[in-house]
Amino acid sequence: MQPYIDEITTAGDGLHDHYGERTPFTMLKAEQNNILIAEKLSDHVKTWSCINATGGYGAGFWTGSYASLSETISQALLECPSATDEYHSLDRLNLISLIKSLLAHHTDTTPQEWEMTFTSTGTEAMDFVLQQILLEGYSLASGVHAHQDKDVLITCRGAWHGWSVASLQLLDRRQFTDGIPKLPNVTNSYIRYGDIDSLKKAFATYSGRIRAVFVEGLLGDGGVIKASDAWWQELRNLCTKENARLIDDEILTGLRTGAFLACPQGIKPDVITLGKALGLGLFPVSLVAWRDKSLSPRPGVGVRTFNARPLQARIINQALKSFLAEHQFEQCAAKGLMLLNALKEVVAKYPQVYREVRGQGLLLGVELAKPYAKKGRFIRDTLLRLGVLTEVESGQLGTHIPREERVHETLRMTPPFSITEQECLAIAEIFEKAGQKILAGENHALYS
Amino acid sequence: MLAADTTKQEAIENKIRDFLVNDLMKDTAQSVSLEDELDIDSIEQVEIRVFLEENFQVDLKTSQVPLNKIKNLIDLAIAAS
Repeated sequence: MQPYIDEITTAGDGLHDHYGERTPFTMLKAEQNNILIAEKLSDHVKTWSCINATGGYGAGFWTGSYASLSETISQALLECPSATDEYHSLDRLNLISLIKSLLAHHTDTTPQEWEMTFTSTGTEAMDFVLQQILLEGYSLASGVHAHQDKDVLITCRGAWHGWSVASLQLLDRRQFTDGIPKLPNVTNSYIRYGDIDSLKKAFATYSGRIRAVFVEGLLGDGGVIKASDAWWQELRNLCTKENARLIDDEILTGLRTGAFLACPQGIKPDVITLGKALGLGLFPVSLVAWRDKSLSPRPGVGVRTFNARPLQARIINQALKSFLAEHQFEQCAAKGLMLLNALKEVVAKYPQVYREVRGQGLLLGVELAKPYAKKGRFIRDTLLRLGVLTEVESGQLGTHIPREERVHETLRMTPPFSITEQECLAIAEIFEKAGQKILAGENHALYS
Repeated sequence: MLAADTTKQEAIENKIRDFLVNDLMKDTAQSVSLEDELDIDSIEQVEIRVFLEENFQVDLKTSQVPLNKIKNLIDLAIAAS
């Protein structure tokens, strides 16, 4: 293995660099919630173990619990037919029934109200939703669009809704949108997540023109920000009054915040998307659920090669059933609160490095202080060298955002639910150690 | 250079440095020389372009000038004004 480690830590794995600079780290092996990391130094390759506090863009929520699924996976590989979405499947029925009951419970609705389809990635789910929104009211027979006056799509500053040409249009960041064709006949407007005044102002400005509002369960890339119950209620009320669709993007937030969804219990979105954790870190599986039949796409729209194939459906269904039987929502809430409180103490000790810790359940973010507002990668690498893997969120730093409302880069944690209390405390200790080292002026050559 | 031109250039330079320090969080931009190369990534290039467009009506569609020196930014702003 050694020659390969030397090679890969020097030249990388060959994947295209989408970042302008990939990290110098190679992940060699996982063991429960830990990952063995390698980095090439001047004269040798250093390896060390770190706590996985990310799950890999939040997808690996089940990482650390795969052993419990091995029997189900083996059996499913032998038995499950490759039924496409044109055919029915008992495994799919079981999964859909379970998810509809969870959706109904969280939103105080009934399972029968929900329609559902599966997509592969979160991006694909959001692209499907955009098709639903744009096609609602359109008659294929006449070519007439009954909702053509409703041209405004509202999203949140700093939001992230996927990488497709269409879903990129929902972002307020020109580094992602410039050069990509705009959707015709659509006006984009942006609100400040969780800000009731911003919400009311947008609805007043575009009254009668708002077709849909897209929000995340918690704002993710914009800095891991939670909105109040009052904001959600106001949003629901305004959407109902305006006859605008409320889209709740729970792709990042679903399952991990101590409940099935991150939006408050009883809020009734028109459309909900899930992904990331839903696929267990094993499959790219996402879903779109909606309550109003008028949002159902016309025949031919939304057919997918992988629409919860029975193999996927059986494994996910088994994983969800075990998760519920083990009362993992409650445990996510408890462990997340423990980590949040421990990190609050660290943030209070090192205000020169950390500005604030926020979040809910096992979705937490530590916003960096002003001197490190755009040095997220440096802090992330420092933390990794000390033993904890985090991810950098962009925050809200564009010049289009008033300075007093900006959010600095934020280190996001979306650990697998198998993370232990001891590991949560260790994460906080490592944040403390990083704070000490950074203030002491020690930089890139930081090792525990 | 006339005194008025000098004043104008200084005002532009101050505005650019303020943008680099307080919007792009480039602490060093407060004190670097006009010719020093700044460490600008692709996202920041977009921010600089938007800043120049919105504040000085700079049209960069045909410009090949790299946006990595304060002097270049000042020259672009002056040329557009």
